[in-house]
This record gives sequence, C-alpha cells and structure tokens, in this order.
Amino acid sequence: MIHHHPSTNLLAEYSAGATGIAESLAIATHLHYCSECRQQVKAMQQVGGNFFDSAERLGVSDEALTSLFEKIDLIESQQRHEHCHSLASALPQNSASTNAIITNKRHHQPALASLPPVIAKLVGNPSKLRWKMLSPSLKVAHLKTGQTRCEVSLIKIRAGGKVMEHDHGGNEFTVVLNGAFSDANGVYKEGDFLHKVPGESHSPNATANANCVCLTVSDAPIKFTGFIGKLLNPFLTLQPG
Amino acid sequence: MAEYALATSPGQATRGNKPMQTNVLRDDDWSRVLVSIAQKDRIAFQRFFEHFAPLVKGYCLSKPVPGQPPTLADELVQEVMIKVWLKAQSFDPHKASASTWLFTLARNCRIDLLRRNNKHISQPLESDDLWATEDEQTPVTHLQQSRDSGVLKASMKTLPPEQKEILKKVFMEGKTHSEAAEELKLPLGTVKSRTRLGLKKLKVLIGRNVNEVGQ
Ligand SMILES: [Zn+2]
Repeated sequence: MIHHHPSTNLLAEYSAGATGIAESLAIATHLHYCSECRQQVKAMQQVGGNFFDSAERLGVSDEALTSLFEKIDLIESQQRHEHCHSLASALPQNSASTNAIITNKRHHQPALASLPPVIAKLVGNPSKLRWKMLSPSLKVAHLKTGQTRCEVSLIKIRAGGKVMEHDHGGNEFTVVLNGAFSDANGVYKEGDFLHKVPGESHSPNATANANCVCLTVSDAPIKFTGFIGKLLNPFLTLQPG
Repeated sequence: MAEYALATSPGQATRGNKPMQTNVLRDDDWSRVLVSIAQKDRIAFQRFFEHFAPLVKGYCLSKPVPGQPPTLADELVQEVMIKVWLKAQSFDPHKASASTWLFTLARNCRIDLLRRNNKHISQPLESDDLWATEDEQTPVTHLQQSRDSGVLKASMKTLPPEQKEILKKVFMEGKTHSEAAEELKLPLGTVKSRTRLGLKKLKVLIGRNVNEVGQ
C-alpha cells in the first residue's frame, strides 16, 4: 500500500508534459508502483485532450500527406523484410528489461533485481554502477539521464543505517525502490514518493531488516550538517555489499 | 461515418479480461476511425489526418521556443501522424477518446523534438519511457468512461476564465506552474490553487483534497 504520492499540481504538470526529464523520471517511477496515480494522470490527460480539440487549426500542406504515405510504404516494406529475416534467424530479441534481470541473477544483487523498466533501462548492467560511499551506511551511484539541471542518483542505505541529518538546497524527490526508510514524518516503503523543498531537513533511517534503495532527484546539492567531520572518520573505508 | 460502423469486431470485445461491451462505443466517431487505421485502412488515415493534422500543428506552435526552426511544427505533424499509423493498434476506444490519445502522442513527440534540438547531450531515455501512451490492461467499464468524457465536455464550458487560462498554459503550452506564474504575473501559489480548483471543477480529481498544500 502506497501512502505518499506526488502532489496534484505536480501530477498536472507531468500529465501536461511540462516537467523536466529528471522530475518526470521520479514521477514515472512512482507511477510504476501506484495505480491510483496512474488513474489520476489518465484523468488529467483527458483535460489535455479537451484543450487539444480546441487548438488553433493551422494549415497543413497536401504534400505532408503524400510524404506520410511514402513513409508508410517504406516502413511496411521494411517490416515485410524484417519479418522474413526474423523467421530465418529465429533469435529472441534482447530487451533492456530481460537483460537487466539476467545480469542481476548473475551478480547477486537482489535489491536491484526488480527495478521499474525505466530505471532498469538507465542502469543497464547493475554491476557496472559505480557506488560511492558517503558514510558507513550511505552509498550513492549517479545515473546519466541526458539533462544538466538535476542530479539523479540511486542511493543505498544499509539495513538499520542512518543518514546524517541534512537540509535541502533545492527540490529533492525520492522514490523508494526497495526496502523502507523512515524519518520524523513517517515510514516510506516501496513506491512511496517524497518531495522535500529548501529548508526542510530530515535524517532518514533504513529499516533494520534490509537495505533500502531509492531513486533521488535533486536540483541542488544537499547539505549535510557537520558531515565533513564524518568524512574524515577512520571507519570510512570501502564496504562491499 | 457509416463505413466505420463495424468498429468493434468480436475479437476485440473478448480480448483481455474486459467485460462484454460489444456494440456500444463512446460517442466519438474518431475513435472508430482509429480502429480502422489499426486495420491499416488508408482512407481512414487520410480522414484522420485531414481533421487532426491542423490541430497537431496548432498544439505544437502554442509553445514557441526561441530560435526554433520554422519547419518544426510540420516535422511534428509528420512524427505524430506516423505514430498514429504505427500505434493505432494500441488504442482502446473503451478506455480513452481519440483526442486524449492523440494528445499524449503529440505531447511526447513535442518533448522529443524540443530535446533533439538541444543536440549536445546524449539522450538515454525517450519520452515514451517517461510518459506512457499505452493503456494498461485493467478493465474499465465503458459506462464509466463515456460518463467521464461527457461530464468533462460539459464542465469545460462552465470553467471560470481565470482557471481556464492557467489550465490552457499548462496543458496546451506545456508550461510549468512557475513559468505560467511568471508569464501571467501572478503569485505561484495562485497558479497552483487555480490549477487545483480548475481540475476539481472539471471533476477529474480522484480522491484528492483540493486544499492540499501545494508543493
Ligand atoms: Zn501515487
């Protein structure tokens, strides 16, 4: 059961296609888990459809249609060709998600075994993720999403671990992919969506029984309170797992 | 539209776990045209194009981007209409209207086109990865759908102009609330609350509190 959802305003901006790639990634990830918000987005898209119907009608040339039929002819002849080809070779097609599942099995990373398809596509081979240790209980791996405004990462909080109290310099979206964590405001489980704004500080705790993996999207770096001291802590050696 | 009257074939009615809803289609002739396009009917495609291509172009140009090439809107028309041909099979007339389906296609194509214009970063994701355009296989009763679209059409007419203005900025021009606030010289909070009130008035909010604190 999901208890934490994106706001109505955020879902409206998303349904309209106004949100940036990184924010949209966080919302799409939540939607993967949340049928309630999927229904909400569908309903909002109907509003888009209604406005679309009343868009200004702008002239389109006849050549546009001719050129479309030419493209369709081309696509259909290619499809016929590919169809013959695939019958001949009869090889299964590789999709990003099946790849991800296979590699996960091989590398024994159960926490990353069932990622939403869009995250699996970004991650590719989970064993290639470069995890950077920020504290004994917190690891971060950056993801490249093709935009320059936000930092997009997977974070892993070790079972029972605590993340140092931090403030948010900008907007931060978090979606729980696996496990659970809690802060003073509540417990966040798989699929839950959290939006922190500047000035809101919290210190998340992973539940004791399992690692917690989250997607985070932030448009400004977070500020750890007194964290520099912790970085110099001799316990901060690399810990696999 | 008599030639499209046989839109629902027995095969379609029994696909998936849908309840039987064979002969009733939503009051949207264009849905039936789309079903014909799914069967590779080129005459249906031409009719669809003649009606919707000018709207796609209007939708595209409602979000002018500085330095955008004048051919961009025509490019969008081509891309959206090719997708209509290729994806018509995924359109389910029981779950969405033709306009809503086309809106999601045009929205995604516009996002990709504008991103492609910004060439120097490689794009690991396409808009279709982030914004679903295909309906899920959950049963939705036909009655529910057609009532919703009827209510929406009617309540659109009673929408206060200041709410309509903002919803149009968001849904047609693809503007964020902050961008809309800046353009209309309104406080961000006002834009957010008008959006929520407008959506409430259109009865599209599902179990959401219109007074929720906007984030
Ligand atoms: Zn939700």
